[in-house]
Amino acid sequence: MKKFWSISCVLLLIGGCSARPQVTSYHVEDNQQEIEKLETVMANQEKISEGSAVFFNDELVVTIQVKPLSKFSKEKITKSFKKEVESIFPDHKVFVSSDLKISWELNKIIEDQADKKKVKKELDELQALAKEET
Amino acid sequence: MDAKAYQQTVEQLAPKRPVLRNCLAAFLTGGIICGIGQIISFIFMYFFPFTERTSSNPTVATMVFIAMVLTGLGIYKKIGQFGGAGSAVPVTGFGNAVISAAIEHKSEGFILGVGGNMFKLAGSVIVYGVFSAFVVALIKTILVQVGVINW
Repeated sequence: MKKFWSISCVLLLIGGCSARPQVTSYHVEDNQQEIEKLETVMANQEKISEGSAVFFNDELVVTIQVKPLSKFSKEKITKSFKKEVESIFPDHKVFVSSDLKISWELNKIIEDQADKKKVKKELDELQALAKEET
Repeated sequence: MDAKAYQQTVEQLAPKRPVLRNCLAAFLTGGIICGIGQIISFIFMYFFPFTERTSSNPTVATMVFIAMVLTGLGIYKKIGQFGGAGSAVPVTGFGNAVISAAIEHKSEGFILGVGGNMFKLAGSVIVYGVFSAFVVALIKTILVQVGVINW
């Protein structure tokens, strides 16, 4: 039992210390170059623990999860990250959210890998949901 | 015996308050209540179209409702006896204050008893809650206008 706890502690420590954020993405036209570009941007972010992205025509929807201790400045991190992504993809309409619900929904879209029409509809719904105030 | 000497005698004879134990119990109770609130918030986000920002309103309503039902069943009283301020400070304490006052004054009739006294304690919570929200909003508006923070 002692061995189990010590091993799990070490694993947790290694897992918690991994600086690179986990990134999942889906490109409707399967452009690997653009995906790699975005992944390198996310890898350089120290305060982001997870990220998901969907490329659709000229739209780019990204969700990020901020590390627990940086959650106090979540809005600021999201804004600066959005600016960075916009500078790399100037021809894309970039949408960035750090909301957990939006992140869950985007991951569902990535897992489904549905056709263009459905993805477009789901992305529009997602962006409308993110704008809800009450 | 003057007032000072009387107070000293009272302090000598009264049992010592277990401050550390009370703090721990309040911490645990408040933490568990907030943990349940977080779970409810996740449920609203997972099964309904609520985001992190919008899920707080239905979560508060649900927590107050649960506290009201538990007060009616007499369970919240026991939680309050154990947790003290840990059960009164979260929003569930508001639901408890409303229903316990209603139960207390039921014998005086539904209009002047229940209706008139229901917000006896919760009324002050609403008044000072609204007032402090106004003050906080005023400070934030000024800070935003000056440019120290953004919305």
